[in-house]
Amino acid sequence: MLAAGLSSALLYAGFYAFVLSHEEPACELPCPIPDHGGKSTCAPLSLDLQVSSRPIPSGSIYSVWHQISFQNQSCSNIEADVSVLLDGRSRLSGSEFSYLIWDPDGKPIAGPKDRLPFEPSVEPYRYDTNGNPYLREFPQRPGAVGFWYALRPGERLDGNSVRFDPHMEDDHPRDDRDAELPGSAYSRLRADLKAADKKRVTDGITGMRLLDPLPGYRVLEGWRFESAGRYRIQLIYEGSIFASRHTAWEKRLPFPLNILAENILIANARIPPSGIIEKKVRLKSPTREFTVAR
Amino acid sequence: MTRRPLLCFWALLAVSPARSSWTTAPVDWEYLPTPRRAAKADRDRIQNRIDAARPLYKEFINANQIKVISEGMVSENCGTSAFQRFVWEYLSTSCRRDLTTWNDAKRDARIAEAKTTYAINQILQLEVKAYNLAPISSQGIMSTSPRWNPAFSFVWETDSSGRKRLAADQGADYGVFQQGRQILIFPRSFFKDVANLTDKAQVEPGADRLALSLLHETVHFAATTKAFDDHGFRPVRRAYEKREEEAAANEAEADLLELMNRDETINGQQAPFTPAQIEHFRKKARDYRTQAKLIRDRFPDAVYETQLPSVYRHREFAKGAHESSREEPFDAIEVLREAAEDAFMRAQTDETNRVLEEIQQSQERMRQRNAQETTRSNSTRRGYGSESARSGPTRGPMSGNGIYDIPFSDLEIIERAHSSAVSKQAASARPAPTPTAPATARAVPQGPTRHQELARLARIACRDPYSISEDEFDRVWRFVRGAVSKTDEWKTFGFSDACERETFNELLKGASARENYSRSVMASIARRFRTNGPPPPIYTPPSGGNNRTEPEPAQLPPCWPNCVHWN
Repeated sequence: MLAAGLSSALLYAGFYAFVLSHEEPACELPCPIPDHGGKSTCAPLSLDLQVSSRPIPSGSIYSVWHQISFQNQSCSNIEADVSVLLDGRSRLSGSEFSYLIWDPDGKPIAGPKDRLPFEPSVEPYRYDTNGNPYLREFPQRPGAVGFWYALRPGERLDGNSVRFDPHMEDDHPRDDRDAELPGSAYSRLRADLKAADKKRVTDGITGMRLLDPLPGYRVLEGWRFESAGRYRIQLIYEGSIFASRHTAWEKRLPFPLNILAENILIANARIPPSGIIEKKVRLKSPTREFTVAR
Repeated sequence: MTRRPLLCFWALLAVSPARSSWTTAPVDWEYLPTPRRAAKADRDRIQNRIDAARPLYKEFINANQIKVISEGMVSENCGTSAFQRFVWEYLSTSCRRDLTTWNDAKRDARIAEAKTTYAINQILQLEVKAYNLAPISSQGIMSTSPRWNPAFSFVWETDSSGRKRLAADQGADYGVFQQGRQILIFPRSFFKDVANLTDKAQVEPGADRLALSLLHETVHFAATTKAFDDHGFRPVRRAYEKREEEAAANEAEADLLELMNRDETINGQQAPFTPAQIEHFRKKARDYRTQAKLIRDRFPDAVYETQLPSVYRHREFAKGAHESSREEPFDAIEVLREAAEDAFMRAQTDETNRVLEEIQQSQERMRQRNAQETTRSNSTRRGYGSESARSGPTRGPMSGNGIYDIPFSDLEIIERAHSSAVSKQAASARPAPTPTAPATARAVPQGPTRHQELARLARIACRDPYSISEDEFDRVWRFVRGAVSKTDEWKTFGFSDACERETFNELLKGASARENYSRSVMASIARRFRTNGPPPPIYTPPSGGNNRTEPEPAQLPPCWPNCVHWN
């Protein structure tokens, strides 16, 4: 009896030592564990901005061709609201995304001049929401407000780009004309409606100084740059992100060793006491330059 | 105020397209308010409160996200069945930890939701006061009819398993008159977001947008209240009736934008809303009205959207499209009391009372200023009237921008196509509004006695209560307060009908009791005794006149454009 107890204790001590001596895979990313213990100062998520070198026509309300992306710089999973990557829209999800722009003299330009309205409400470009397969297929957690994506360690996520597709914006979107009015009986009506649609859109985009879309890029709307020169641009993202452990080697152990190992690691503060770490971030992208031509 | 803008204002009213918004929708106009744009200081106060509520909203979103993530971790670490959770909770520290996180997050999210809801409901109170958005009566004749009590709500939706959950896209809609019982206003009406507006002709979230949302839902309230008054319940609405109501609500929003533009231009400011923004609502109203007419002609008995051809269907009228209730009952005040957040509630309420007082004072100051302006301009208008008239009709701030030449809507094309095959029934005739001359404010009465003034008020109340401006009513009412009550006093005035007689008696009763009546109260008293007559107008222009009952362009006074005096 004593021998059995002794051997059990020895076995447990050996397992205990094994668990504590087991090392996590080395993390070579800049911010290994975000805020573990509240002392980390590195940013677990980075925001990047790429700007096309193509000159922008002055006075156009569709100006800077750019791309934005997030990258996880930590060895944890980072969950962030990426609504803005989908189609440039925020879903009132608590995070804020803004552009800072400086004119050729280095003075900051205050907000878009022509945010509302572009008359009439015709849009020359449309977000290609099928462009990035990761954004298209990621599972949205039920009950989440906004579009939260869990970036794996090191993962980089680019925003969807836009394509040239002039259309009328409508807050009551309807089906396609062919689906709406099927059959030959409606062929004349369909044709009339399509012709009217086309005329409205053609009239709407007349006079806009538009450029051909750049594959992989989106366009900045509403800011109008009247004078030629080199401008600077930066992105700011403010919001909360949530980090959780990516690798849990102890979970791969057989039952009940997985529970024992987990309990040992928590008791020795080898893994964060809470499963989720919330971190408020204010991310700044690198400052880029673009050129406005006459 | 300069003289010229005032003169142009009358001309603008006479030819404005706003009056073409008369609708056949089954809406009881008597329940609608007479909104106007709040003063800049009041708008700023409301905006400050909205900005202050934004961190609470963010707090809720974050707490909700922790709840959502921890729920997933509980499923992962504790299993999905109740038995598994029971066993694992004892064995696994991480399971216990995740369950604790989840329970804490649920509690935090509930408190954060209650705080946000409470704070924003306070903002709604300020908004209603500052924009004069309260209907004349907050409930119909029937005790079972809905009460007008707008409240803030997050947007909830039903998932594929039939459970209610928060909608991921909180920016999808502005508000809803939910199941004909309760006006709910959604976050989109409040919070600005640079890239959130898909249609750039929409009005930016904030105090003005909130006024539009409240007015829109109040039109639905008025329609429902009318149904209750007429039938004692809310009959199932047919498909075309839903569209007529929607047209009226959108038209009311467009009218309010125009009115707010006029408020500002008369005061020498730039019109705050563009023609495209006004046209956005007009187009929607036109589409709904055209569709309502087509459906009434061809599918008069259709109730559900599935009974209509696909071209006529609207998702928003489909059952469940506008649901926003939670699964479990939620009372923000109860939640905050349970969480011992009394200090938060007290601070919010105190701040609201303070701001309400400021708004009250600012409105009082504006009323006094308007009264002075009106008195001054009355004397000058007679002198300048002929000059104004000779200058001819003015199309107002929107003229020359081509908004009257907008392309016809899809539904108009569809209607043309149908009408080539089917001979149309004569359009249902609507009663043309009676042309009336613009009302002018009068000075404080000098000669008449209190009883004579009360008799005049009674006649006005029964004929058209809004032909008297609020300013004038206030002045007259201050004068008549304290009048001696006499039982047979009414006999001395030779009233032409029972409405005038009974309204006079009621007003006299109130005056002798020194009650603080408003024009709306007078209107509601008269409404009790009035048996028939045309619907009263919705809006009053800033100087106290009445734009709804102005003559149609084709029904201008015979002297136009050379009128010297209109009244």
